[in-house]
Amino acid sequence: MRDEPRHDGTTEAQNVRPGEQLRQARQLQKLPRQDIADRLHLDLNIIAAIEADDYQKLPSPTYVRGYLRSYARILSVPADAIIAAYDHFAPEPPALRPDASHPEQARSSDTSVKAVTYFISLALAILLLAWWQSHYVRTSPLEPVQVPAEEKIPNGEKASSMTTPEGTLSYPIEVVIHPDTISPVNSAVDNDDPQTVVASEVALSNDRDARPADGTITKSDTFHSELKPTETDEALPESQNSKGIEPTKGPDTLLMRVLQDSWIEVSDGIGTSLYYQLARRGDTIFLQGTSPFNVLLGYAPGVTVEYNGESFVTTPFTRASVAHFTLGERAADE
Amino acid sequence: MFNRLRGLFSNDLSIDLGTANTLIYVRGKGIVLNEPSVVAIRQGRDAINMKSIVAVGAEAKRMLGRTPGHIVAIRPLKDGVIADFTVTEKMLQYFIHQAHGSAFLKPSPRVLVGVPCGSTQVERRAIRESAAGAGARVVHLIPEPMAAAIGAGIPVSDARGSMVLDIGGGTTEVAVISLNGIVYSASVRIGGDRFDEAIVSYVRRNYGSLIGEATAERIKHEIGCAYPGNEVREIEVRGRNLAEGIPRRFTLNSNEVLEALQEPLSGVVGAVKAALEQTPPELSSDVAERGLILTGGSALLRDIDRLLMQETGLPVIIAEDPLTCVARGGGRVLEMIDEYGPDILALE
Repeated sequence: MRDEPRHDGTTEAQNVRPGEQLRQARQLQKLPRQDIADRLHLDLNIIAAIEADDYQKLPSPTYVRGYLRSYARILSVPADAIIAAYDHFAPEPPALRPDASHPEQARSSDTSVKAVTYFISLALAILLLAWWQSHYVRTSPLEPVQVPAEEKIPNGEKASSMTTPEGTLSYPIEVVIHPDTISPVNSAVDNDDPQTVVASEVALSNDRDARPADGTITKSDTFHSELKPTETDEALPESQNSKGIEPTKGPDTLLMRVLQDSWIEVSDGIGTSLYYQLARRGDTIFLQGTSPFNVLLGYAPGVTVEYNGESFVTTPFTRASVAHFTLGERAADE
Repeated sequence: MFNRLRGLFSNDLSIDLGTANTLIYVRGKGIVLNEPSVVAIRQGRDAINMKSIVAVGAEAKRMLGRTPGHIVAIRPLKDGVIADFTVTEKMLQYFIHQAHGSAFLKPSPRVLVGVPCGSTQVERRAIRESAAGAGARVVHLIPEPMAAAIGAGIPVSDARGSMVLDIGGGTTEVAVISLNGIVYSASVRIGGDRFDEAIVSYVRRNYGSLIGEATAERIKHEIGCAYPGNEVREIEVRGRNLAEGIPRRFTLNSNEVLEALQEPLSGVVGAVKAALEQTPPELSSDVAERGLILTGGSALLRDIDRLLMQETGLPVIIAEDPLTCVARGGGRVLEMIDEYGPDILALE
């Protein structure tokens, strides 16, 4: 293997051109140029060009470095010093040096890449949360926008379905129940959060004929408020006090003209359903009751609404043709 | 799609998948890996864990010839081509991962692999699939002499003939290159491994002793030469005496090693002479004027340039850092592909 001593190509060696160094060494050893050319199997003019450091007449640097190395070895001159001198005087840098200008490719371990990744992940998470909030929490059809009253399911009484000629009607009611007053009921009760329970699917009758003409529902044995005030109650607005609903004064009127077939649900301030069916084109629906009214229009563009004689625009509450809004004082309070 | 994303975080690699050593060049970084192409495999007892990798690279090479029954250290490449497909794939996977360091995403680099110009389509396909299986996004294959010429700094795009002799571990490739293409190429399955085998058989024949391949390689590195010189070097080695069955110590000198290497060396010289015979006269004249460039690990064998000079009458030049020429040349080719498109060279 090659064992020539490595030289750092110190300044002294680098100050003299490599061809000059080799020529001096050859002359010291009294070797003719032809002898060198024969031993290297090179043309005499190439040897002359090497000694004259005339790199224009020589082939590419790879070859020149090889010639210099072989020449130096014949003369027993340290080849590395000659090469170092050549590198110093070479007209151009040796080929195939790593391209320093080449931009490095991004790596996943780069700080900037990590920062951008975390930022994008965080932004995505926030967007997802916002979307979930807006789409599922606010417009969930199972959750009414306004809950008129807190109701208590009487002890031991099942939340039973009440069948009407139109069929069974059920919708969720938010019920605030003090833990002490709870007895086993069939409704799903979340024991982890005893303060607020959504007793879904509590069936109510919508038999409007049985109700008074003003549409208010009288407190019956089935639905009465006898809850003790709790911490939750205090947190609620006064209008939702456990004492019950104070009906707002005067019957409010709601007039709906149906231009296109649409499903319509209207319930009044205490949760009584005033209207719950498919309205046909051309119908005019006039309702009286205690505000606020919870209104759901299945096809909002096909229905015009007048509340207490004033036209009400449903567009801001419309999402995918379905409008869900509250009319009346409660809405104004909020 | 996901591969492209991973590709953004992967460096382009040039791999010299050699019989003896595997080198990986990363663009903009240089040679990042130079490991022996050796894999140590543990044979499992049951059918589920049939085989598992124990070590790869230098660590596995130390195990060569020193393993217990259930571990076998193998070289998955033979004569420049894949001998064991699965193990080569695992080895490449390990090396690519090593070259990338710890990465968040599994690397999916664009890879350029040097292949012997004498390899068959089946052998090339095996190399391509092995690299793809190891995680490469795109695999380019380049003839090794071309990569070696570019790595040595030869102006391959000139309309002048250049001859390259790449003596690797398993094969010796000789090629005449002009205008970014190979005009003539030949490949002989002689390389560093054959030199080692020649030393082993010489010692057995003349000293009646058995030595391992690792010892033979050490002898070659320390006192091996291709041309008789003024200085005679010696080395003391130990081998198992065939007659007595016990280890014996003996001394070898460089002239004996030279004698041992005569047969494989004459094969290399014969390949060069055959190439010169086949080269068109214009290119032959260019080669005679400028000389023959020597690359590959076995170009480091002492005085091999003098032997070739003597036998062919041509100037012979050993490239700078001949061991890494193919890998460096591959890296330059990747840059050329980016600059001029993939048609700049005859790649596969």
